[in-house]
Amino acid sequence: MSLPSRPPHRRVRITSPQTRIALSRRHRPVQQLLPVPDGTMDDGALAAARATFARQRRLALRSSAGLAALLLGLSGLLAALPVLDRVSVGPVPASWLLLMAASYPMLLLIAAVHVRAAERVEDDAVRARTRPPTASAETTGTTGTTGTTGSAGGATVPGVTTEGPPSGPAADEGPLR
Amino acid sequence: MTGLLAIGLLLAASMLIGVYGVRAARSTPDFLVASQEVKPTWNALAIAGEYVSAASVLGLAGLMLKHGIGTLWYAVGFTAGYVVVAALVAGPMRRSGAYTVPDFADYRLGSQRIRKLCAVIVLVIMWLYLIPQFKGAGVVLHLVSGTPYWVGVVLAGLVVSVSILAGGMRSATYVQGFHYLVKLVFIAVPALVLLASAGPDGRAEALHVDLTAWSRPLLDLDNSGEPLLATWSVLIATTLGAAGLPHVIMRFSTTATARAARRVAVWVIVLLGLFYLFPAVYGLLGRVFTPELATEGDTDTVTVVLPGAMLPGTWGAVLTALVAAGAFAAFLSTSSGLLLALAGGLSHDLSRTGATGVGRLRAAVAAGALVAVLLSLPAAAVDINVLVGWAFAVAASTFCPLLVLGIWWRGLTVAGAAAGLAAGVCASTGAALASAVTDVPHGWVVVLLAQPAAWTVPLAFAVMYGVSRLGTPPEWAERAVLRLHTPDAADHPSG
Repeated sequence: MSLPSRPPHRRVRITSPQTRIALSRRHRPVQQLLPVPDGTMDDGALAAARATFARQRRLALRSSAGLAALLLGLSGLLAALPVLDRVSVGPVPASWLLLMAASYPMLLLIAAVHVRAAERVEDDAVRARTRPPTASAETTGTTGTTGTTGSAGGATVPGVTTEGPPSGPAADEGPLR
Repeated sequence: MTGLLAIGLLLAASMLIGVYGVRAARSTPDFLVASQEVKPTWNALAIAGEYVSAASVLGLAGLMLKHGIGTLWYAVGFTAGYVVVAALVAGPMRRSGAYTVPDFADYRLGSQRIRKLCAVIVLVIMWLYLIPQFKGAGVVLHLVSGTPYWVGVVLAGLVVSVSILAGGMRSATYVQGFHYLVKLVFIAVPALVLLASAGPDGRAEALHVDLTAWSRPLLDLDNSGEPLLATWSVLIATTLGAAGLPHVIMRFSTTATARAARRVAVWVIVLLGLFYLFPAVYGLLGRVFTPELATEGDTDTVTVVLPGAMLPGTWGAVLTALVAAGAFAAFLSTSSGLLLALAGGLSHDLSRTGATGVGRLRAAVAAGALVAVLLSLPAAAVDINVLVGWAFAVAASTFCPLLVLGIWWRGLTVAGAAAGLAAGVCASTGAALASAVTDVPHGWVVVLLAQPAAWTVPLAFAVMYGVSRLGTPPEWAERAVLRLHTPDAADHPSG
């Protein structure tokens, strides 16, 4: 389709490899900006999306606070306690060790905990959306424990019921794609 | 001579991987972001490879030799940036479908003028960041072959441009993943050998705490006498700057889903934490074995000079060659990422017609490299990490507030974003320029000019928030925000 004015069997090297490939490619991979949203989001989906957003934002604030406490706290600690320079852990001064080695595992921990929690929020949101309408009306109180087949460890998440009742049936069509 | 050979081999290997990748680069989207076919592991390696720049390989040890242990806060901040990326930016950014920060601004605010303003800021940050990379290349080539500084800079510009023109981002992904491994091995192995050959006395002396400011685990800028303020300012710049660096943000659009983007960011933290164990070795040993660099000469050269100074003869030459190749890999991978982001800004966001052909992008790559080379020629005397610190400060004062508020607050308006971006970029570049040309004697003013992030970041956030509050966001703004946080079915095969 996209081989204009060129018989497919004739392969003549008249351009750079880049251009040749660009001309001969079958289909263009599409990735586009999401369009500006119109008013297609219905009330149930809107409420569910708002609840998910609120949870994610609380989580983001918590993780940011943790990061700030770690960085400013550790540097503040080293500034406030010069004695740590004279304490040695093995051959290395304690303050140097804290700076060089202790900060990285803590950073990793904050990020890993955040990502796990954020994925749980998303799992909950998807589960609430795909739940069968009839069942959800009946069993909203227990879905937190029974509907966790997908998530590792089957952990229950407190707060899952906040978006359960209003979102279940309404978000089914997935106007959010 | 061995150094030149090692760099030559590195270039040949990079080219080979790059040419192999050419087959995949098909269109402008491919060329820019590799069309999301990149595996997560390669992606994390590539992000780390692109991120570990001359600032980490050369600059960190160099600045440490000059200013002390506290320099390592730079490394902590460089890594902590990915906590911010994972927690605040990566997932929603990927979901927006934006390749670049200007793209995101367009999506979130629906304004072409904001897109252009962002594109201009991309250019400022990228050029600020490219200068120290090219300086690193010039310095390394001078050390291993004796060519004048400018020859190395010009050669570096040529090599980077050609390697990008040959393949674009797709090939860059593999080249950069490869470069991370090169950097890690070529910095770690010589570091361990040097540690062993330093002997018990050398090691004890390197770890000896004396009563000077050098041994304090805080970062004092220009002997300001305000080490805690300086440390915090550097931490704010590096941590928040990493979340606003255009070439870092661009990388995350090569992941398959929002969920994968977050996880990639976590892996990057692991890779960076591993790497940053080693530059400190060169700084510590350099203080014992090459102390003369701190008083006369360029401390940025310590990583390359140290092996030869400690081990005369063949082994010294071989280790020098390894380190030089590692430094060159650092320069090469970071510069190609920077140049691609810069070229994307020039051709994609600043052009009147929007997205265009690959040819135009190539012209932008060449033009961007030329300007960077010209800017780098007079920069030989400036410390690598000081320049990189400024690039981070500008990113932290502009794109970090834009992305964070754009993703997490529906109230952001076009006017607020524009005012905040303008305030941030003017304040941070102005302060950096002022610190370069003036000579303030002492005190906190020195810190706030030399590393302005401590006040320019809050300023940018405040202006963006305040001006937004004066207006009203469009009615669809809330939906635009909510959609960034709403998981789609593709994210959850099991759900």
